[in-house]
Amino acid sequence: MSPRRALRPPARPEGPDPEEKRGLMVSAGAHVAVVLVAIFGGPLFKGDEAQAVRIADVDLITSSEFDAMVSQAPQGPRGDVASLVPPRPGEDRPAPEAPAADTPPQRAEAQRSETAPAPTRPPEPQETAPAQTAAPASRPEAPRANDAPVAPPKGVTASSPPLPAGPERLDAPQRDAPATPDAAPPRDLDRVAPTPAPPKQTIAEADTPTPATRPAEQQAQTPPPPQQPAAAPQEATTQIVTEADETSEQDTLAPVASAPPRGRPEAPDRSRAPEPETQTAAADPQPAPAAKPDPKPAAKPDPAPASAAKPDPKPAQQSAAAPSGSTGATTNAPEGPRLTSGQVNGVRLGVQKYWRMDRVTNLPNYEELVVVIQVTLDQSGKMVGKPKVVQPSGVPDARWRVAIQVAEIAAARAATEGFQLPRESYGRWKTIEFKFNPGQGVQM
Amino acid sequence: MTARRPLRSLLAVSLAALAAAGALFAPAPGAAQEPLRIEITEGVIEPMPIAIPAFAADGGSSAYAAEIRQVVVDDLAGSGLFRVIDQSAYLAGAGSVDQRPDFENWRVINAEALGVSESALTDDGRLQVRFQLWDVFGAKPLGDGLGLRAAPGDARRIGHKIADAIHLALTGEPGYFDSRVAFVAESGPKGARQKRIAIMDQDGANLRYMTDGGSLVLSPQFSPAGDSLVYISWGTGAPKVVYQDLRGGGSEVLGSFPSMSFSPKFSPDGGSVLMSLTDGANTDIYSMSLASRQVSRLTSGPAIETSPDYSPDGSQIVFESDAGGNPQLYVMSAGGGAPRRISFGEGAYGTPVWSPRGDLIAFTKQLGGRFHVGVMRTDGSNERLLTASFLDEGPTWSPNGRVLMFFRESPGADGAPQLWRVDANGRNLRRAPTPGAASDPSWSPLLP
Repeated sequence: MSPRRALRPPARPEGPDPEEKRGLMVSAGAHVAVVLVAIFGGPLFKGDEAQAVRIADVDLITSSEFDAMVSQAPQGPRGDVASLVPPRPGEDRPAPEAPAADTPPQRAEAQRSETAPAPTRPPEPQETAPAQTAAPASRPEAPRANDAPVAPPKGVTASSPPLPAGPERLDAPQRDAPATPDAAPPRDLDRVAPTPAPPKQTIAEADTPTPATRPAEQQAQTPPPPQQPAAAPQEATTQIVTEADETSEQDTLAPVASAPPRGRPEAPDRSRAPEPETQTAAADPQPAPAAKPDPKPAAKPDPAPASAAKPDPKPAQQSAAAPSGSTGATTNAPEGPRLTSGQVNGVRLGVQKYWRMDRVTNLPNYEELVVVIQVTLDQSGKMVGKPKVVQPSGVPDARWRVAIQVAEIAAARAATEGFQLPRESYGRWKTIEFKFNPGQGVQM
Repeated sequence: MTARRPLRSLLAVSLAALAAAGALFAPAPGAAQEPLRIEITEGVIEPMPIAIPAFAADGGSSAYAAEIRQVVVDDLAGSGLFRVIDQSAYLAGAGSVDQRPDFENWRVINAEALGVSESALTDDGRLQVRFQLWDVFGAKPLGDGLGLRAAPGDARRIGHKIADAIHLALTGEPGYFDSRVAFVAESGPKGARQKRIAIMDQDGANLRYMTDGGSLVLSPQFSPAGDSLVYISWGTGAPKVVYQDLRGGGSEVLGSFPSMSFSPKFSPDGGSVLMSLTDGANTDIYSMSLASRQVSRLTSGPAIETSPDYSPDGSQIVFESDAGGNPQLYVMSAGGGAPRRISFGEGAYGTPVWSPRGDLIAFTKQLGGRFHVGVMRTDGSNERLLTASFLDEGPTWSPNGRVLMFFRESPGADGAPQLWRVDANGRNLRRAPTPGAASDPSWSPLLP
């Protein structure tokens, strides 16, 4: 036997043990599955705080093109529009094309393509709604004891009054079948682009570098590329719609046909319209026609995307109607960050002020009259459809009927008025169930 | 070859695990997200805003329509439960009773309910009114509506009936607007008052006097049907209980008792009258059958028992007795028997009246030189004083057991009693309209 053969390594065994092999495969498969779930998501690995990084699409236009656009835009009624007019060419101010850190987001919208929704448009109608706050208009006059003697309206007779026979009861009034839906028919905004808007264009490259000493300034300055088309040509609109109260500076700046983006934060709106938070129309003592435009505003320029080439329906009672982009009341929306206790409390207070608890606590055994009402909201925080009675399942007796009605009114009034909740968490508050529990509250 | 098999198996196992993980963790498309749940435990105590537009009236009925509408508005506003929105705030008319309203017009002004009415004169000269109540925010009718026909002279009663229907629809409880109040109308100086039994609508309308003021009268009480009265009169010298038929049947003294009789109260079935009879220094409670005039003694003993009142079901009687040393409230079976004391607070309790709902007993309480009208549960618990003044006395319940009427006398030489109303929860204290001084109210049941 040669020495080489003697040094040959021993023959390998036939293969791993079948049991071992099976275990190995199961283990490998499970590891792969876990890795894939971790990558692609699942409740176990969902992060609460992560927010998607949003990338804005911006078109670069020349100053002259921008000026031409501005000059053709409908003039709003506000006196401070001029403050948001972009700087003229040659002025030492950030050009309007590039989003500036210290400029209102409206400027950024001006350069966005017509397919990109304007961030401020959707909330705007809500917040520029009637200046009159829907005060708990039901604040009653405090009952006062009246000491003055009151004369009876009729004369006095000295004879014994015969017992009155009483009015005779007739059949109940016959009502026609409802011919019209509860809500007034939605109004079309009648702003339809006759021609499709050009496709969205993205920036191919960053702005031309400017002196680097001021990063904000550098970010703001952009040299105008001459070939970029207008974001939304005014010619696309067939009607000019004016708003008595609600047109804003953005309307004059942003392309008329721009559609609002989905899920934009409401920060721009807060900076613009602090007062018109409430949606409801005038309180009782203010019946003037000034209240009228609020629930039935004229068509708005914002929610009429030329790119979509379709009219935006606008329910008459929703002065801030969710624009065409926000119809997500029935779709699974991303949940986003959790609501803060303050936000939830704000909703609770909004409903509390309409819940006439005494009407329930005056009923016998009111503690058992727990009613649950469900409302569905659009992204603007306003109710879509009608409230739904989740509990009780029926109307057991007259006490329940009253308790249900009182709860329905409270939920409906509050939800019609709208709740101020963050859009990014829409998935969490799209549907809200209110549990009206008179037994847990202040006892009468 | 051999190497491919383990690889294939590994791949198969991985895919299966992945599918299982996906099924487990991935949300199904279109699955409903959990709603946000918020509990509401506090609310507000405010009148409910309601809109009552002008009636749609034909020419002949328009004047009556205006009066009816005003009665409805006054009833609802006076109850403290509703706030009728002024017509100047309305954005549109209500349209026909048969027509579904444009609810948005009413939501805008925050009306939570809308009452639509129309009126007409029939061929025989009668007034016909149709009414429908709507839930504005729910966009649906409340109830089936109401149709009434009456002589034009009963226009106010039509208004009260409509107000009662609104009250029932929105509170779940019957109203009390179509009812009357009997009371003692007083006139003259304090030391020489002339007193007459009077009856008026609960809102002060249609006042009529039942007696001529020649005899001192006290404590009128309606029968359960509202078709007769009993009261105390000194017309024969000693105070006696008088029964008066309001249907025109005249009046008579109940019983020929040698002593005083007072504090009359009808039984719930109207077939008998409770009263207190004095025998020497002792006063006890008796029941007299109106059919047979037979008298049954219900209490005995040395104490003074008076001011009896039946429970709504007629099974018990609450009364005032000083058996414990000072006047307190007791409850016993309607047929007599051992009484059970229910009041234990400081002061003196008297004039108990059992609520038509059966859940509360109202009373007069004197403590520390002041008088109070209060309520307590029928077992004496949860005592609450609703009023306080120099002299508050003699409560009577509204037909629905929600409101109390009593009389309040102002101090001084020129002091005079007036009728006042207050809710059983102590709210909405306001004066009841009478032409002059008034005391001893008794609230009738709802009129037919």
